[in-house]
Amino acid sequence: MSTPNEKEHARQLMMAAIDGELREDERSELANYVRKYPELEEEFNVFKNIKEIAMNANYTPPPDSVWDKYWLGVYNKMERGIGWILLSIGAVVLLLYGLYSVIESIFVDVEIPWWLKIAIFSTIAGAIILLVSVVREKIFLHKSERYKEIKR
Amino acid sequence: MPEADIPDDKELIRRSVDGDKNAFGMLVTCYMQRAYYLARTFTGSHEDALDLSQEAFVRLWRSIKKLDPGKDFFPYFYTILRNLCFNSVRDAKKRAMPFSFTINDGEVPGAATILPDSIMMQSELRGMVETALGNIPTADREIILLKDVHGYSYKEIAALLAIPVGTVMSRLYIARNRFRKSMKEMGYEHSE
Repeated sequence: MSTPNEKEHARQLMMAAIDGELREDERSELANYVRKYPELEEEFNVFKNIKEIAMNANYTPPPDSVWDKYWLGVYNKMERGIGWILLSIGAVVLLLYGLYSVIESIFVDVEIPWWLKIAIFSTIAGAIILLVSVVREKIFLHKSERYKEIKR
Repeated sequence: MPEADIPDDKELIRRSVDGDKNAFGMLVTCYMQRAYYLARTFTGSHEDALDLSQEAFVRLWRSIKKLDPGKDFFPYFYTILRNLCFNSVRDAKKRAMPFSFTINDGEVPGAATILPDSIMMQSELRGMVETALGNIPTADREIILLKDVHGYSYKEIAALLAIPVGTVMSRLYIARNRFRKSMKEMGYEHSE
């Protein structure tokens, strides 16, 4: 009588045989399984054929110039990463300072009507809330969905 | 630099950990083709594979201090590359961009076993293989191509995916079975 574990093991050995990774002791083990379950022989031929087909799935190689410029591309990305960090820090500081200056000047200015001050404040506060929300969502998604596609 | 003058991986990693960009450049040059072709396993497209493999090296550089120079760095690098590729494939699916790659021209080995009444052009079969591989889950495509295209041994695949060798064999069976079903759905038949 066949057991699921036995069949699963037989299929593991079958893969090893197709891929040329079968050890000598495993060879006789597989032969015993094939005698016990003759349908495995048919399955073996089908999978051998599938492997042959998959082996053809090669890629058209890129031009050699890709390799000549490859490291330069990596180096530029490394350098740009530092550039982006510095630019972001600087931009955030300048933006906050600019906002503070604008808000201060608007609220100090007595010629601007109170309703316009509220509208300006509301626009700025709304934009900040939306920005923080989007950034938080992006960070959360990045953390929680990272391995969604991996199936074991 | 002549090949004989290139220090070994451990030395290059040690120097990279110390902040030596030239050493890291040599490491990148040694592994760029391997990284690029592995990325193409996932993405299919040349542009994405180039971009993702380069980005993986950038991330390796950023986390280089975590590396133990005494250990093989490639499984660690492959984890970075793999995660980048999985995310890219997921994003592409959201944008409804199908997986596609250009497979080599030339004779398809399995073509000889096609039934006489369903003889088809070699290019048609290549197209089938391409579509069938695109239709199976990314992790299945990965393990099939790691073995059958990149030629890694079971031991190497086990190290890259951080799984036991027995699991590699089981996953190969499952992946090939899905590939077989996908081919069958498109009308491909095997001879007995």
